[in-house]
Amino acid sequence: MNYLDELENKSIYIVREAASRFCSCGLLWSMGKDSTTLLWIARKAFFGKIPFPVIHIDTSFKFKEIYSFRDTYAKKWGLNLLVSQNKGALEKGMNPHASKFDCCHALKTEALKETIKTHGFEALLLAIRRDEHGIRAKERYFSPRDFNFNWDYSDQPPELWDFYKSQANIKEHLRIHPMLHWTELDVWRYIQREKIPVIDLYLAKNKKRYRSIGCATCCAPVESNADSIKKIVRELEQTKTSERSGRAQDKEDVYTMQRLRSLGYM
Amino acid sequence: MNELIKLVICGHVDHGKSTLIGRLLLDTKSLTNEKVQELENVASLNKKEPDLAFLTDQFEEERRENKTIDTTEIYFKTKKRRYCLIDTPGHIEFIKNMMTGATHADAGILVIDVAEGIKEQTMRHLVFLRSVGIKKIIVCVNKMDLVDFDCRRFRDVEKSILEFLVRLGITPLYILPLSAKKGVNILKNAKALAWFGGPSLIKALDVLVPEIRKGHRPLRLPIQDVYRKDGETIFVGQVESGGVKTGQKIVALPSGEETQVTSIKIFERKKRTAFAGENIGLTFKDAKTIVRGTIICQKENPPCACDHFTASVFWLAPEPLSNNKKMILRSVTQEVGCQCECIETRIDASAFKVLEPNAQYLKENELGKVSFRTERLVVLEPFDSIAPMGRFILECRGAVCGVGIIG
Repeated sequence: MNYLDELENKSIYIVREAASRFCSCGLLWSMGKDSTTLLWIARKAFFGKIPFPVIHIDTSFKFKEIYSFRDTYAKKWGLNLLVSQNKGALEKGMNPHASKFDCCHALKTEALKETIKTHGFEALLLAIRRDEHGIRAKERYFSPRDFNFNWDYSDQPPELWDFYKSQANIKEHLRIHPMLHWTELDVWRYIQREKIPVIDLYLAKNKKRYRSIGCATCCAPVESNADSIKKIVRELEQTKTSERSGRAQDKEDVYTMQRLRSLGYM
Repeated sequence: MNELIKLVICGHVDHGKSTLIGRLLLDTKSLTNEKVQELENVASLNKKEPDLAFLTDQFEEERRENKTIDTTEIYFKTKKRRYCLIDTPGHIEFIKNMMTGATHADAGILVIDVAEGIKEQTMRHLVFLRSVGIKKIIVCVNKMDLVDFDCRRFRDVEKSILEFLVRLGITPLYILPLSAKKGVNILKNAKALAWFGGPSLIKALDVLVPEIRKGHRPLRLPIQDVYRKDGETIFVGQVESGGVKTGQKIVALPSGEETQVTSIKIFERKKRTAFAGENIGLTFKDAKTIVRGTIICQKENPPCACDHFTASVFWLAPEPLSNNKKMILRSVTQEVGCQCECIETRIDASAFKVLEPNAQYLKENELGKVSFRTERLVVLEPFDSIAPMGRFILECRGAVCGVGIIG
């Protein structure tokens, strides 16, 4: 096995473990490269048919390319797609221009909370990676969220070898992170090898490309000439800037990410 | 270049673990521009010098109180290969976080402050590394700048740590003098340490030999789940040892049912063979007793299923382990109720000393040789022959309370 096979196999094991342990799972799909890769791995794990819903938390501020990508592949891959919005907050005019923290919290975290409550999800699969952000580096593969949706990062359960948390306590759900051990470069190398479709916002146009995509309002492109997956891999092998350098919520305050995550942010 | 070695960094509180990691990242140029900037921003916010430990201590509390709370994984690379550094907390109250880091490592780096020498957590961490099967250890005698790079001070620490390692049955790969804060003997040998004939830390790391999955091992494939697809029953699992091929005759334990592999499946493909580390689907000619937790083994010389075993256990729960205590044993995908029959020895993990034989209890953070009886038959083998089949955890009410290895 080469190293991409090792990464993939560990992720498949975790995805299957989640489905085996919990009756009610959901996979969060933002249509970004990471969650699309997770979706790809889940399709492999279940021989083509993912046996639980795939959830899109829609802030309504996403790039238009994201919506068309979602609809194309949800159909092609036979996904049970669940789209969720915090309509109340949107009607009251919530937008990212006042405070990134408040907007992310209302349109992502609160919308997710509502979805979990409505559908009774016990476990959610997310494509976060340790190398994305220092706070995410502290995560477990199976990470409990309490009654109030909080991440008690100061008292996480031990996770020894590949024995993952076996049950969720009452009124708790688990965040499951099958790709925690991947790096940004690993993801792109795997996308290249597997020919996984990605949104073309990642590819350079007019010497700019997005390295991380989310809401159109809060993402800035980086300078790049990488107009193919092969060139992205080459670019990342040499870069000295971080992946989320274009993400606004990371810049507002040094500890914004920790506060967002402890309140249940993805 | 894609080879990855995972290193767990351990040692007593304040001996410089996080600083050493920061230094390795900085000197191997593995930091992004933003990370360097963030380091400076936080330093100006707190009106202090930039602190290398901040790179891994990401929580506000960790930075304010200057201590690591939880384990972190972070990557760097040398000219030879990639490394994943697993930072762990040195405070005793966070030992379960240290263990989480340690069970995912290939080798350990033990950091000792030359001025303080061996302390309680130095020993406890070593005992723990040994009790989860990590025997490749590099000892870094840190803060040499604080003793003017004095050879004698280094030799004193070297002598005492060697004595302790010998008692544990561990031969360290290297014992190195260095200064993480000043960057001495990290990338290359330093003039200040001219008396030291050994390698720099990076050189010592680059000669580490990774554990390779041993070939010609007997087949062990614990079943993880059973899927029904298009009228077919597919048994999925990860090959933990050896290999499997289509047509092979196997035995399913603990039931002892004998059958034959009719196909090996991965998504959109069939395979003829699969080896250790691969997650596959299998179909069998017959499968009356095969469920999650069944161990698929080769027919020749299969292991024994047992309902009684003795193991070395590290206890983690505040409530002590006592005779007759009932728990859940988890080993690979096996899960079975078990009961503590006898605590044969109780060992102080911070000194590796037997406290008493035939003990009544094992307290939090203590080590013991313990015998158990299980409610059903399980397959367990010596850790040194097939590691995944020789390790287990113990759970009470869904929470991990102990960890152990066989042998």
